[in-house]
Amino acid sequence: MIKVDKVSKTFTKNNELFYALRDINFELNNGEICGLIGLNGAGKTTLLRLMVGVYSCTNGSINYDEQNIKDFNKSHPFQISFLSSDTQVYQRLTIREYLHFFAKIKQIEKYTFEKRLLEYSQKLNLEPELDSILEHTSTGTKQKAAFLSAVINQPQYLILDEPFANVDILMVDEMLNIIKDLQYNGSSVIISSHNLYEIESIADSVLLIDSGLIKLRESLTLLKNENQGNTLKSIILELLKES
Amino acid sequence: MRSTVFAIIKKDLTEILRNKRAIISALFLPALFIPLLVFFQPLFDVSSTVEIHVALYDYTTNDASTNFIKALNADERFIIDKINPLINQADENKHDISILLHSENTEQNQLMIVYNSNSLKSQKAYEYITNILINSEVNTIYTTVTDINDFEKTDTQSNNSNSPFKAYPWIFLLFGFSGAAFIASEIVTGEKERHTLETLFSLQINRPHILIAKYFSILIFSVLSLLFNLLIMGLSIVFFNTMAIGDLLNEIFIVVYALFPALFLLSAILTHISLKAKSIHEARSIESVFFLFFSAIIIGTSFIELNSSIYLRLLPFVNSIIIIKEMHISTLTAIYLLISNFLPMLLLLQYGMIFISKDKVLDIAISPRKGRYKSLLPLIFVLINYILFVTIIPVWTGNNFIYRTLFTQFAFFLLPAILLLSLNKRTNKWLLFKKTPRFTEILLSSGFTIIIFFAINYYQSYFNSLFTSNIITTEKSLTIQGLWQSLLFMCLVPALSEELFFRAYLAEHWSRLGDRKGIFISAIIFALFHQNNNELFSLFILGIWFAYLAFHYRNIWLAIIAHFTNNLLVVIHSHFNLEFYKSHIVGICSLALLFTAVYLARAKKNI
Repeated sequence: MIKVDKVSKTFTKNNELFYALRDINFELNNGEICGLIGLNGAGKTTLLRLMVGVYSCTNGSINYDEQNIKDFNKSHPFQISFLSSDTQVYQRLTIREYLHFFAKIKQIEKYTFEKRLLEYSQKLNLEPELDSILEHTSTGTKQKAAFLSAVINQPQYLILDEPFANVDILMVDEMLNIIKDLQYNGSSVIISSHNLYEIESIADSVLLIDSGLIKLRESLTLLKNENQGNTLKSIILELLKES
Repeated sequence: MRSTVFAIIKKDLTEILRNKRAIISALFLPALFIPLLVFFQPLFDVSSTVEIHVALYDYTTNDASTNFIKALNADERFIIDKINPLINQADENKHDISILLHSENTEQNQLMIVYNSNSLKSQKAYEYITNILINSEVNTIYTTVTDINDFEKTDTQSNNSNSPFKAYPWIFLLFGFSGAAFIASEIVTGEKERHTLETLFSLQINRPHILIAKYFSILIFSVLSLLFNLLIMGLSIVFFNTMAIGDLLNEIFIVVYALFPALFLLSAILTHISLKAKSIHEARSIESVFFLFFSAIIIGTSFIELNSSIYLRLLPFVNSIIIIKEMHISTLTAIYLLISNFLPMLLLLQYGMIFISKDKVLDIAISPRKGRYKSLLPLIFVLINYILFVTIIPVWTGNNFIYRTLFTQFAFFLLPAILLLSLNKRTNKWLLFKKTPRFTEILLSSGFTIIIFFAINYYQSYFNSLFTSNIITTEKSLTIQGLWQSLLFMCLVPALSEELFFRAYLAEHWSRLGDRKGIFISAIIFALFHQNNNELFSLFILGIWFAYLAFHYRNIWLAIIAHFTNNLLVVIHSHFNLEFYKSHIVGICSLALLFTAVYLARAKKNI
């Protein structure tokens, strides 16, 4: 379970302090998929980076299974996986080498790695390109490779920042399937995306952030029941227009 | 940890080897340049352009010898002074080589050549003269060649560089450096710019591990490019036939021997520059400026004939002092050399003085305790103690060394320390042996003390040879005593009592001004108490290191262990008459290791 407790984050911009996030409180249960929604500059990426420890909180704390990030990483190494929105792949490696590098760092056994590589590459239609150098592949392929590097060790907590950008609609479905498989194994997932259709199809709950504050945190089914079966898009649009 | 570091190194090297631009600019361009360099090497050779003064003693009247003298006169490089021993004598400073011609009968001559093996010019002169001798067909019964150093041992230190081409190794350092520079900007700044470094961070890899991996990737590639260039050099020398194979092997040995330790340091500096830079272009431009400056120094200094060891040039500032001291060069050249050595000197200073300048490295301040002196008592006490110590100890000339050591240690250090510690109410717990150190901590403190010992003594032996004529040896009383007695009274007792006095009491007392100031003041007092003006700086560094250990781990045991290790090394060295620290490879390696360690300790906060 992830518990985000009164988290604030400040940056200095032109010698002035400004709050990127202010008093963020929420919990994420095991096996829950949460969609993180917000306008540009609302603080989505900052929140996700705080959650994996790339940034440190100005105030408040983030706990995984009642341990802070450092302790959790020590007791459960590589159980938090993060896919950054501006992740670039290593251009001069082949996809196989690229994933092997991550497997080695995440200490996956060779047999397990080969098995998963085969399984995932078949699902994502990467098999013919496994031995081509990433520099010469399409943007979507790079994004798929980056996505695989995050899920290859089947982590307990998966944090994805814009995972579906540049990926074609067929493959998005396959990626969603992989995420669902992970959920079935008990993983918790946070996905930030501008594409509400995908979030609607996979998420259990949504988290809406607007200019550093939580606007909405609710289960998706409840939200839909309250709004008489409107689509997520129309609900969010209404909420944002109100403010 | 090891597998992570290896994985990153492997990834980096795979990426580099697939990068055509890197391979071309780091390996093949220098490789194209080297044959040219080898071909034009005689132009760079200093002795071919300079006049050689010959002192000629001529006791012959026959034709054969006049032919030889004519041939000598015809060669423009030689300036011949005919010497009549009744009137004048050969001047050692002026003449590079002396020739004595003597005839038994009218046809055949006896020839004696005296040259100086320390002087490159003199060696060259000897080579030319033997060539002339062969070409002019002088009939000699026998030729004797004598090295002036064989009967006049004036300078024993400068005997270890016989290489005829001193500029070579340094030019190769440039190639190793240029190979590494491109890679450094590519794999450190490049990853930063492409945001791939962030991926590694989010993997929760320990940041120092990333840094170590990057450092080693750069090091491996610089070694690779150095080796590749060496190979090309060997091949082109064989092809152009400019050097004998034996000399070539000797040359390669010197390059490997002298430059690999230097590459450690260079890679560290490169990693540092690339980490600080914001973009690849910035990194490359800083590196190229550094590279140009560096090459200017190397080329500038390598053309000046130097009687000292070439390894000394690794320490740029020492280099220029020696040149100015020994070479009687013009003021303008001296100024140029000093200025050109300024930047590396600053860099060295920066890396050397990190211990006192950066709070981050020390990471001492667990809780800043600031306050004013509550009383001046400790200061007055230390002053009185010092005056007594300085006046009593030299007067005491008692024969029994053990009693003397015991008395000084107990009376001046141990007793006051115990007394003052028991009076001091705010004494911290870490001082009082309550914490047993962990095995890794012990290993680290004694291991680094060994490195520091060699580095400091290497520096010290050069310092002494620079500014004093007689090298000060360690106390002779050490060798008189048995080993076990020395171990007890020179190692164990001083380690305990001095640590308790200087670190546990003094440093802790002044740490109320801040930990760094406490360490600094106690180290100064520690150096002063040893009453050895030549070793003040070394003792100061040692004092800082011991205090750092005690403060960093909050454990006085580690300082005691480090102090014991240091004294143990001194005792062992003087007991068995070892002089490892005078060896260049040990000295340079330990200096390089030390700088690298300081750098890594510092840079892990920057990444």
